[in-house]
Amino acid sequence: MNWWEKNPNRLATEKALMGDKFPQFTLARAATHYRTNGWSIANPGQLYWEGTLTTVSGEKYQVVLTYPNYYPGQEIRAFVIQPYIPELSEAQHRYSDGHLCLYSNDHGGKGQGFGPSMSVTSYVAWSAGWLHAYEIYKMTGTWPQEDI
Amino acid sequence: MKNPLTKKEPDQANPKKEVKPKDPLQVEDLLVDGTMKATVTSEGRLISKKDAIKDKEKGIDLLKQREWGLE
Repeated sequence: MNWWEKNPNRLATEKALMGDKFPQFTLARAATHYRTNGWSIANPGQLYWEGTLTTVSGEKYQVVLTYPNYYPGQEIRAFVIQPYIPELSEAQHRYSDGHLCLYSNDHGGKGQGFGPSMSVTSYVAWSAGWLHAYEIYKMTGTWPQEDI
Repeated sequence: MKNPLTKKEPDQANPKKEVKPKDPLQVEDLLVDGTMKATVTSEGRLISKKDAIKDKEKGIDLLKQREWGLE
């Protein structure tokens, strides 16, 4: 049984939060294996949110947030799928499977960690923070903060 | 004649404030020392909480909004 079938209230609340905070995102269920940029974004049957985030520079990015099979016990993965961001260096704060390294990761105690008290909206906000950090990195060659 | 004490009508010609693009370096502080003062707008822009309140921007805190459920 899927996590949202076990806990439909959780999914209903996540939908309500996203509709309130980030209404440009839509929820979908992968009918087939969702792959792009050489990354595996979602396996068949997995739920994901997809939408656009705009940074202060006015740049627009297409972002996908994929729920894990076991939620909230496992972490949501966030991807920037458009425009394609090539790997620049190890300082880019992105994993080899394409998902972003966010505040949710502990980073030796500096990150916030993740837990059942969070919703997907936190990941969207952190993804927005990542995009701003990325734009600064492009300009300066230095990631502005280690734990984002 | 218009009553000067009546509430000002909202500007119907410009219901949504136009956001001018700015240099990402202007928000670097919000990612370094000011994360607790940072808000992410519905669009995804990173701004200070102070500006969010001033401009009546809807958004969530970059770091603190971990509470479960609707406000």
